[in-house]
Amino acid sequence: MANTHTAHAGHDDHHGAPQSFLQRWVLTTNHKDIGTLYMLFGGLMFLLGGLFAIVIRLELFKPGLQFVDPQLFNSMTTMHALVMVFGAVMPAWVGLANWMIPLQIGAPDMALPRMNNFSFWILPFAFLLLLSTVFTGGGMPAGGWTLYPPLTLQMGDGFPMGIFAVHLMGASSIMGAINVIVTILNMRAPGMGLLRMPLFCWTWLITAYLLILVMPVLAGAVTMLLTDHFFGTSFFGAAGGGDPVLYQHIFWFFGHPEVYILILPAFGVVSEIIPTFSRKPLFGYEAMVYATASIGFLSFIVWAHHMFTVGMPLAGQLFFMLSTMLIAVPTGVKVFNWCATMWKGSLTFETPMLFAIAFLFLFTMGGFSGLMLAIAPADFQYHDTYFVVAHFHYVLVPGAVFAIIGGVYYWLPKWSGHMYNETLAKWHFWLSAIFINVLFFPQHFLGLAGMPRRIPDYNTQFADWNMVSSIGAFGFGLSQLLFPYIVWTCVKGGQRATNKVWESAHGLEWELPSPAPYHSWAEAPSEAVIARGAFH
Amino acid sequence: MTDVLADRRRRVRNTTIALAVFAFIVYAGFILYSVRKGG
Repeated sequence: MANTHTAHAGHDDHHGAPQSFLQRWVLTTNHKDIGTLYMLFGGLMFLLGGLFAIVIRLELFKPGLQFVDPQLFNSMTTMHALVMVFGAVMPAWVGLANWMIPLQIGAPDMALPRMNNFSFWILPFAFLLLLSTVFTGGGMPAGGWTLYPPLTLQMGDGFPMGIFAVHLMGASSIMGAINVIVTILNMRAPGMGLLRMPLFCWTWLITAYLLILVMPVLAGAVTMLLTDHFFGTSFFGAAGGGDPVLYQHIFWFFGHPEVYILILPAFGVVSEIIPTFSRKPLFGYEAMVYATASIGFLSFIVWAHHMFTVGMPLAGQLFFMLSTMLIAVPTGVKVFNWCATMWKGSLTFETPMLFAIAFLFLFTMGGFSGLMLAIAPADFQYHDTYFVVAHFHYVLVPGAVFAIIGGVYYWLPKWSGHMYNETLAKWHFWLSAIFINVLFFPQHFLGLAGMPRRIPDYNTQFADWNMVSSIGAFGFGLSQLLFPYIVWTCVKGGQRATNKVWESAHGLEWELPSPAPYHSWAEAPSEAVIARGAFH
Repeated sequence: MTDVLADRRRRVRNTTIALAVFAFIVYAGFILYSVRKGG
C-alpha cells in the first residue's frame, strides 16, 4: 500500500506547484504553501517582537533612563505583546495546523482553501497598519496589550488604526478557526473517526472552538472603544454613566481563553513528539482528549482572576479562585500522562524530544506560579509585579514557543525532504533552555520583592537581578538566530529524509513520501493505512 | 461518488454558515449586553 502511495505521490508531482511566484505564493490555495506563509510570517514577527523585547531589557539593564523615553518604553511593552501574541504565536500555530491537519486526517486540502488564502493575506496588512502607527502623532499603542480604557482612549492619531488592525487580526483568526473546524468535521478520510485522530488535530479542534467563541468578544470590546472615542457613547466612560471595569470583564472573557488558544496546540505537538521518541503509545489518549476539552471549558469561567484587585464581592473572588485552581486537575492529567508515556520507554533525545521535555518541566513551573497567582489574597501582593511577568513568560515561551520550535524540528524533514543539522539544533536547544531560565527565573525574585511591571526605571535594590535577566534576554535573542539558519540549510539540502523520518512515528503524515507531495491524499487513504498510522 | 461529494459540499457549506452566524451573534450579543449595562 505504501508503494501505491509513493507511486501516486509521484503522479501528483506532475501537477506540482505553479511556477510563477504570484501564482505560487500570492494566489495559492494549497494548504502546504499557506502553512509555509503563515509560519514565515510568524517567524518574522517573532524576530520583530524579540527586537522590541531586547529594547525593553536593554533599558532595564540598569536603573535610570538610558536609551528610550518612558513613552517609547510603554510602546515597546505594548507592541511586544501584540506582535508576539497575534503576529508570532497564533500565526505559527495556524501555519502548523494548515500543514499538518490535512495530512493527519487524510484530506486533500483544507475545506475552504480560498478563504484560507484570504485569512492569511489579511495578516500582513493588519500588522503593517499596526506598526505604521509609529508615524502618527502620539506614536504606537502604549497603554498595554489589554487596551484598557480610559488610558487607551488617550492614544494619539494612531488609535483608529490600532483598532482596525485588531479587527483585521480577529477576522483572520475567525476565518482560520472556521476552516479548521469545517475541515476536521467534514474532510476526514473514511475510517478516521474523531477518537482516532492524532492529538494535534484534537487540540486544534478545541482551540478553534475557543477562537470562534472569543475573537468576536474582543471585536465587540474594541468596537465599543471606537464608538466611545469617536461617536459619543459611554460604554466604558464613568462620566457618561459607563463602567471601565465592564471593559476589563469583556476583555478578559476573551483574554483568558486566548491564553489557552496559545497553549492547547502546544499540548497537541508535545503529545505527538513524546510517544515517538519514547517508542511507546501515548498513555491515556482519551483522557488527554477529555482533559483538553475540560481545560477549554474551564477557560471560560476563570477570567476575573486577572482582576482581583479591581474589587469584587467575596463570593466572586472565591468562585474565580477555585475555578482557576480546578484547571490544575486536567492539566495535571496531561502532565501525568506525558510522564507515564516516557515511563519505561526506550527514550532517545533528538532535538524535538529535548524541546518537548523542556516544555514539560518549564511549562509546569509556569503552571505552579499560576496556582500561586490564583490565590486571591496572595494575588493582591503579586498583582502587577514582575512575578506575573515571570509566570506568563514561563507558560508562553518555554510553553508555546518551545512547542512550536519542537514541532518545526519534528516535521521539518517531512516538509523539506531533508534532515536538519542535529548538532546545531542541539546547540539551539541548550542555549535556548539555559538562557530562557537566566532571563525569566530572576523575574520571580524581582516580583516577590515588589518590582512593578511596565516601568522603564526602578529602585536600585532591583539592579542585580535585572542585569542577570537582561543578560539572559540577549543570550536567548542571539541563540534564536540559529533557528532560521538551521531551517534554511535544511530546506536547501542535507541528508535525505526517509518517509517515516523517525523510527517510531505514528500517523498518516508518515505514510506519505518526504517531502510531502504538493497534492497529497487526493485519494483517501485506505482503512489499512489509517489503522497502521493510528496509535490505538 | 458524486452523491458523496455533493453531500460533503453541503455539509461544508452548512457548518461554515453555522459557525459564521454564531460568531456574529456572539459579537452583537456582547455589544447589546454592554448597551444594557451602560452605553
